[in-house]
Amino acid sequence: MPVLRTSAIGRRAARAVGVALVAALGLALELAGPPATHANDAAEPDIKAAMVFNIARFTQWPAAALGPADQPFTLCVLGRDEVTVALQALEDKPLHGRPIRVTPLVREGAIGDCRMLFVSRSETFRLNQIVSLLATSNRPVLSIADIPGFALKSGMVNLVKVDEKMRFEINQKEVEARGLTMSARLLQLALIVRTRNE
Amino acid sequence: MRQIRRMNTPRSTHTIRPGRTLPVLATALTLLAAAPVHAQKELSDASLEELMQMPVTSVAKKAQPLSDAAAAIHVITAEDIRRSGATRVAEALALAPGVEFAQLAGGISAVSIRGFNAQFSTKLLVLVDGRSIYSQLYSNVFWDLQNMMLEDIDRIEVIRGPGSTLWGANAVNGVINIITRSARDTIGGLATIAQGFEERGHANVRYGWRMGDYGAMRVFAKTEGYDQALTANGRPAGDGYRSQRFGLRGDWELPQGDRITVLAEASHGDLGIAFQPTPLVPPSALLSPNGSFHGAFVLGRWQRALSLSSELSLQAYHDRAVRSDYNRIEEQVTDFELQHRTRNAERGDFVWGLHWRQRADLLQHPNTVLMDPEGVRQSMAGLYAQQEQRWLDGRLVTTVGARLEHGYWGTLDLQPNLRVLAHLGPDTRVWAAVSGAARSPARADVSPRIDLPGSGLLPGISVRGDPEFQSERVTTLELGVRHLFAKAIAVDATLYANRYRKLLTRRTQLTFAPFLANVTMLNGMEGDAHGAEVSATWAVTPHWRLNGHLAVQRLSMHDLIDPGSDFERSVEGASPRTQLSVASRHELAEGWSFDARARYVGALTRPYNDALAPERRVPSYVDLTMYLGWRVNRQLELALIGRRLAASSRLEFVPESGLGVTRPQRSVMLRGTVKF
Repeated sequence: MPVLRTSAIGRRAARAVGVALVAALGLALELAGPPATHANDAAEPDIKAAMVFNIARFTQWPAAALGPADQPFTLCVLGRDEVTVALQALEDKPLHGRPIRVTPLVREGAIGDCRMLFVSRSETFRLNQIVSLLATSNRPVLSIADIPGFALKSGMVNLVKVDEKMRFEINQKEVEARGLTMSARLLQLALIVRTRNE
Repeated sequence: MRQIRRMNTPRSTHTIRPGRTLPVLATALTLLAAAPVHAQKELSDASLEELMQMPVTSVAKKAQPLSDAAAAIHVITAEDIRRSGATRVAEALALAPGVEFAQLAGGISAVSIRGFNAQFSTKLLVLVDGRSIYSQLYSNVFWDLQNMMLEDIDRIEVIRGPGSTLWGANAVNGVINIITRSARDTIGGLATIAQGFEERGHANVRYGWRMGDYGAMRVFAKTEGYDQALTANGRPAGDGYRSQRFGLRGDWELPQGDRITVLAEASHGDLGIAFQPTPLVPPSALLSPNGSFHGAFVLGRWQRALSLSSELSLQAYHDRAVRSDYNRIEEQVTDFELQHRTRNAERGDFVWGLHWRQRADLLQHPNTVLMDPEGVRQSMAGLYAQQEQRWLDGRLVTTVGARLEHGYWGTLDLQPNLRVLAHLGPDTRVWAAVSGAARSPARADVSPRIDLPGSGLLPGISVRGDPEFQSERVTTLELGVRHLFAKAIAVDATLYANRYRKLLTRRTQLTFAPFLANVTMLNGMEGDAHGAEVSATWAVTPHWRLNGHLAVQRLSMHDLIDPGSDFERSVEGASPRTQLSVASRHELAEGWSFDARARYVGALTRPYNDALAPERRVPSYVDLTMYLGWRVNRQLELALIGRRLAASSRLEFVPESGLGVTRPQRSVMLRGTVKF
């Protein structure tokens, strides 16, 4: 059956060429240069994690609340999803002169160690419990949730997607009641849901 | 959500200074790693104003963090499915490394992991939102009944290797968790229509709305049709079919600590049957040239937060399906599961659960008896627990767990697993596992009673099940390495060795008065399998990603009743020794995107077959898939998708039943998706 064998090899060669063509097309598209229109977009979990970092950067804690300068800045995390995975990348980044330490919050008593609490969307059904837990902390905790409406429910900040872009809402009253100060720039960019006078 | 948490260990909460050990694959990847890696600005260094201007995409822009699971896990994302052009859920599974997929007649698929592929592929458990779609009638998934709405899928977790401790019996060589999106994430409308050479009149519509502050609901309806494939001789196979499905999903996240999920669906379809008479399945066995199915299920799940780190979950479902082709099968399942999970930062997760399931079936044929009894009602119960333990500040995580299951036929199976995961620097994970799992006896192992008289020179056939049939068992050793090279190339490699005992085999004895072939089911075979799976993803630039999967395996079976039997060779030869795929994903300008994927599937040397049917070999092939997508605006998206492009038609498998051998054909499909 030499004839059959040759045609089989021929077919395989044709397929290999097909695959090579696709690879070449991919390479050509790449070499044509990065398309300008979406050099700027990013995956949702990464944007959210970067926003959490930036919001913390423009928030001031009372000096006593952050403890000695050699203490890490503890970012507590509730829940597990793509955003909390993205938050892991903040580990060791400097924030207010301290390296960030990302740690899951599993015991209610540990809330006192948190300078900041991120609540993932998966924890929506624990909202009441989380809000009352935050009220018990004697040190100020910046609370940010990936849950729309969190800022209205005695939380401080929540992320919200508007027209395929990320925004954030701030409960200014709650922030200031806990002794935290947010920069004017941050407040300007935020969708304020409750001002200090309300 | 529930599913992936079962396997994930808590994320590491600290960083170890890089002590860059590059194990196993370093040499192979030196070349790739040496290639220039696109420098990426860290997103967290961008200003808030910049972040607020960034359009959110569902496309991952950089290498994903390494998984912390001490198991061979791969997650197929919704984006992967959308861009694969898959119209049936089984097709999408082939996107994961190590999954064997072959298209058979009329939407029936052969899907397996690590060998033993067959139309009735017995060693892979499949769950959809916690509901098992694995049938205990033949130990298989009726893939042609699973025409679920692909747009609703959030992700598919494909776990290779035993998963029976957490997911139950029959997760022998793997478990697949298909997880649909919460109704809270599908607010608004979506409509898709598609038409292709093979895909006929695909249309679906979905609408979701909020219910109060904390809940949401969606409803959907779907219809799809498929043109017939070709027979082995190139004639129309008559296996075209149409099916419809509609359903709903509601989700409530009540802030006082309750999470409630409700799912319900109903479906029906008209199946064209490509039928090939064999001595075991003569022409008289076919009820009609047109089969049909209808089915429905309802599922409820209630989760209660007991504390910040512990929750109780109660799930119940009822599922009923009726399928008619050469016989009429009716199967009903009622299932309850209670699970309690506790997280602990210092120690790790502890999970335990109770599981109870009742099934009832009825298998009928107007002219003959197939099983004795024709119908049964039976139940099983299981108890499981698993503890994670973190050592050395979380750099080492051990997992110990076991499930004890009392099966439908009185079997008692202990299915343990012991796993270890170590962090060797921030970019390297090494894991190892030893686990055991069981494939519980199916009705088809225990109950068959078929008597067909001979005709002329052909002997009659008598088939008997084994009332004493025991569970098939596997013991698996696995070793895995994950490494992230230069923050851009993620490599995941797994080695495994499986030892099987008590595998199903058939003993055939000829008697001459009367002239009869007596076939008996038996736990009569042992076997070994070993293999390696490697997958690599390279984020070449933020808008170009390459990935490759390689799976190689060797199976060696030993028939204890009849050494050297056909049965040995049919198991060994039913799965490809090598599978390789290479895919490119490209985001182009102005909302255009382009994907290409080539998949090599090795030859099947001796696919399953009736002992008396002619032997067939399935040659190796290369599959080529291309996707060109255009997001016209926020509402409208168009896609042109070509599948099986490398040949006009090809043979992918030879099924072991009387199902006709077909050659699926090349297809080009145009698809439009509108959001409203």
